Amino acid sequence: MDYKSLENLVETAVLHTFSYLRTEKFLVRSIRAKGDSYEAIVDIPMGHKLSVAIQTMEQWESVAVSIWAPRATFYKPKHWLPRLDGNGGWELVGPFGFHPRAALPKSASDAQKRNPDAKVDRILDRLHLLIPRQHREWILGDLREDIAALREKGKTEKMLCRYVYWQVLWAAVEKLKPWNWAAFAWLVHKLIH
Amino acid sequence: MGKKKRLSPPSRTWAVLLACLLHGEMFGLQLRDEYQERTGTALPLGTLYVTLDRMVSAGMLTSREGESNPERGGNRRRYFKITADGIDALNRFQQSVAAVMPAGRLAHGL
Repeated sequence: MDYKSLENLVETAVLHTFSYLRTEKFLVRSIRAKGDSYEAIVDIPMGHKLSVAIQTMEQWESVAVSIWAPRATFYKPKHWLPRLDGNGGWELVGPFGFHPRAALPKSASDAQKRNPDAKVDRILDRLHLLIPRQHREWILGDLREDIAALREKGKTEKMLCRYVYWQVLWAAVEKLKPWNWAAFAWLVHKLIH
Repeated sequence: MGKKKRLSPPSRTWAVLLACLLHGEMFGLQLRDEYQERTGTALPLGTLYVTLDRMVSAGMLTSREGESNPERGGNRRRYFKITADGIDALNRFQQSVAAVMPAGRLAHGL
């Protein structure tokens, strides 16, 4: 993608995002390559700078444009799926409140695989510090491998979550031996919050 | 003076784990499944690794870090292998059980 085309794309995405402002006073300050994507900095009239990420998405032969406004502006991130309109310009699909890569998985089976994963992964991400450090890598790896096997056997997501909670809690209890009430209180606190 | 060796027979859990490892090295999840198959009781992974660590400290097992794969979230496996001391401990367990049990099959009304 050449610079002019990128600049055009960024301008179109910013215009669409801030269409309610009825202004076209945007300045694309810089566009630089970042791995297989691009990052643009755009000046907007309110004196803020926008960060615009353009990510190539080979599986759809397309790109995704994400706009992050500074926190002070209170704008939520916006994501666009642009496509060439045939006249050298860009037509945008969206906006999405979430990243289109997450919104449009490659196939239905992919979505089925990813969605259930997320909940168990969230539990593991939240509670993995409860597992004693010296065993954390082995236990986390075994748990993930076990979850994949159980899922293939047709266990429900609820059962998997319960199983993960139980395993992590038990690992934490092992860590607390010999009994230390301050640590026990900490464990209860972590489980509640 | 050298380190005093643990000469008392190992506990039942230790003995089952040692027996599982007689056929070759295994990693935690395999050991857990094998234990469950042999005894019919579940062994949480947290308990398993603490027990295995103690067995490694006692010189009955050795461990090595294995490979990782995406299914494990990039975490490696840890493989355990029985040592000569582990086999001795298993023999002691077998002898201790044989010493307290009468020979032959038990029946009701004895």
